[in-house]
Amino acid sequence: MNIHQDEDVLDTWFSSWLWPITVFDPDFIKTGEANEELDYYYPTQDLVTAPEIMFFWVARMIISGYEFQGEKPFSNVYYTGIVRDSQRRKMSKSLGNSPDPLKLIEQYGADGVRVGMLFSSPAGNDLLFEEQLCEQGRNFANKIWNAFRFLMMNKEEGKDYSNSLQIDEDNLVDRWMLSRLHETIDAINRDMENFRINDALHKIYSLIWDDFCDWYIELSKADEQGAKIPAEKLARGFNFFEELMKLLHPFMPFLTEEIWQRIRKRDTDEAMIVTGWPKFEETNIAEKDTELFASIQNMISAIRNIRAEFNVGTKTEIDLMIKAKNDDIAEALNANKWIFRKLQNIGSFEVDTDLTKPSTSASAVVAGSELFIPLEGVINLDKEKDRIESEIERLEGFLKSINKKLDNEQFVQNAPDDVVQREHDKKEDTETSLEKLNEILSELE
Amino acid sequence: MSDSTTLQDIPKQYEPNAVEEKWYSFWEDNGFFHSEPDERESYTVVIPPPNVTGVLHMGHMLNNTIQDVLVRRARMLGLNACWVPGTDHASIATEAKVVKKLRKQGITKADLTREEFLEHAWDWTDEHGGIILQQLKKLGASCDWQRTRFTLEEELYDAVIDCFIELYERGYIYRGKRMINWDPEAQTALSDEEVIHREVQSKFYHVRYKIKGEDNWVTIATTRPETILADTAVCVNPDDERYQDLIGKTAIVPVVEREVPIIADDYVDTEFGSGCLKITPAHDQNDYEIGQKHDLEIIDMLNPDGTLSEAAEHYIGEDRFEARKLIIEDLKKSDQLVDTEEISNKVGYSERTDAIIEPRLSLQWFCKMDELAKPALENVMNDNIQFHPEKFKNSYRHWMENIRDWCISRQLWWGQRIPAWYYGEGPEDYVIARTKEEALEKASEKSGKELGTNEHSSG
Repeated sequence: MNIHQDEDVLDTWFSSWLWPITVFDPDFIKTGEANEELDYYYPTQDLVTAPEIMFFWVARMIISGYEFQGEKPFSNVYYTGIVRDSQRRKMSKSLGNSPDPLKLIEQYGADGVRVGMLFSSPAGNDLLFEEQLCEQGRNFANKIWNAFRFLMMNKEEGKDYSNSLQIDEDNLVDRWMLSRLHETIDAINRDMENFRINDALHKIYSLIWDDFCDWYIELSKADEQGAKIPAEKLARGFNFFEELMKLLHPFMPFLTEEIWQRIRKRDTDEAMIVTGWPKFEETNIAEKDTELFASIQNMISAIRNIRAEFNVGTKTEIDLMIKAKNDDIAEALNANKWIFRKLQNIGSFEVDTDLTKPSTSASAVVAGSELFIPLEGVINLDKEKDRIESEIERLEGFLKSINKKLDNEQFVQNAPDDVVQREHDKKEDTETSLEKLNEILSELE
Repeated sequence: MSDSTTLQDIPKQYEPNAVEEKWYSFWEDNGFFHSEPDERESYTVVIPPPNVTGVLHMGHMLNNTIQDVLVRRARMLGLNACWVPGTDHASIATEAKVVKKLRKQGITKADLTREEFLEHAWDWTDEHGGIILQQLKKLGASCDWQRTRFTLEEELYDAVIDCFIELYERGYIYRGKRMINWDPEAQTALSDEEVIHREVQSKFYHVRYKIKGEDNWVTIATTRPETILADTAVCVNPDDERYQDLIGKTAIVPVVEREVPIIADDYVDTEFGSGCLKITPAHDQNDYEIGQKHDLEIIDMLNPDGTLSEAAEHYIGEDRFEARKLIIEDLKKSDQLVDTEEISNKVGYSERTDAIIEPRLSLQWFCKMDELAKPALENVMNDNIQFHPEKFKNSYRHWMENIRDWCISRQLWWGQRIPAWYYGEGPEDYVIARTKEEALEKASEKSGKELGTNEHSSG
């Protein structure tokens, strides 16, 4: 009599269901006694996987974990979306809609692609990927690089740039930036703990791009053209920038390490990859300051809008009057007039709780305060009125032709729905524009 | 800071390609990815092991970017971060790739012994294996590469054998003849989870069977008319008024002219079709159960590759779908095809090869799951293990509450070989052992006979 072994093999999942145990201690199944590694690393913390293999793999790892180890294999399972194209089609070779990941990395850089992946918009269990998102990632890297170059350009030989973040307590912009930084640290921490990785990245993205690059750096610039940023101000800029690089490192590891190592000389153990994650400190949150600064930001946008609407170039000096909501606001705005002046070409600048709107002036309301910009002498009123009137005339003609189309029953009934809808949208847009132009015209009277 | 780079050294544009390689080697060379147990709190992630011979796709990119974000942040938080990388031997997928490659060289799997085939498979693995891990480095993945594992490496292979033996001894693993999902292309059994059910357009054929000794007919309907060849009964509901006088009579199966009993069973839905079913115990799960209950004959009319076997009597050697066309023609000729209807129904496809699955009666190894699943269900429902997003708990619960025994044997060579040793033809003539020596000892004990080894390979 003979003996022979079964010819068959075991299901692949019959091996991978042991993965979180056997990568640390392959003998454990037999011995039942955990080695030092299994003891230390098991249970693992987070498992990141696709929902398609919840039953094949995740469920079975949990089963084997309890059966053999008497303990869960991991504390959290994060199910990622299934990557699809913008038309929600599955990515496949035959459809030609599946980009080659390595080519993407070559083209946009690994950091750009990482950002592109994380920016893909979640839609149910799907994730809609477009190559353009990687481009957005690359542009972000370039924006940061430019900010970095700008700061470096302002460095001066022989000056000391301390590496601990000390803000100027008397400067609203510093207090605001510090508060925004800590608000974001806190928000990102909470996002990450709840696997809202996409949200966390959006927050750090806007903190760097909007708050730091577009406002903080702009407001750090020296008053005289071509002059360098004063050393202690520049040091603070670098310090903020370093904190931002830390927050960004998990998302864009290469760019951040490169900048980190270029800002100052570091020892090996001071590398970005092992530097400490910024600590959230609630005492740095200054709600009043961020509220005030947000109002100032909105006021400056309002001034920019007025310049655009009335055709007032950025180089043209304007006078500004702000009728403040109350005494506190008036005081705060008076103390921070320099912010307006740094960003806008302003002649006389008056802030008070009791002001009246001059005739022929543009106005805006921001957070309960009113802004007036006299236009007499700033623009050629007659020319501007003519320009607006002819624009109104043109739009009215256009509106007529749309209405004609929409009154045509044959068109409405026979044209495809989306074509008809487009006409309705055009009509609505034109009506809004007309309303706005008439309003502007009345301010010029 | 005065000793750091000057503006002249800073490129006008950020140049990712130059920067990435430099910092990746810097991190790796300085051991920043490596973890050893110490007094710090651990933060551990195991990679979902990609197929060893696979290449990076967008799903991997997303998944590994997320893992790297989590791991890098944990490292910065001061935790002892450890991300374990590795690859999966991916039994069916890899074996299919090797078979395909051999076919191009004019070699079929049947030409080779198990050992020869495995040599080819290892060559393939060595050639293509690990490419995907190199690709992950390009993405910036901060894995502890010193800990790289492969599910078929010796230590992990042994662990799987240990697992089989352990679960066998605990009474969870058994061998049984069961209706399983058969993939005629890969020619292996699959688990229920490896079958993808898709809604497709099918034809519903209405076929009439003659009642023996009467000028009377019953009509059944089927989407798989070729399986008529393996019918061993016709079945109606015992309460169905229409068929009371037929129960106990004999029907004649078309084409094969086989005489089969007309039986009654509650399982039949009187509202569905004609209320009269053909019973094919070898090729349908439900029919198999009715067959067991009524002690019906089992006729297996299919070869492993999906062609018709001798037992089919007709169209022997033809592919199952070709046979379907042929039998339709023959049924038309004998005037037994009453009607053809377009319907949409669910058909099972192999997750790996996309072949249409055949339910097939087969002797396989199974793992009993109901007991094992209990703590796994409980600890997800009570959030001891947290799912993100939480909604996945619902489908998890549904699956775990309806879990069926897991068919764990695969008719493949690339994988951990089942440690069962046979010494006779009887269903119980086997032992479970790590080595041949151990198997011999156990077999002698179990059978009470002196046993030798079978030296010639049956592969």
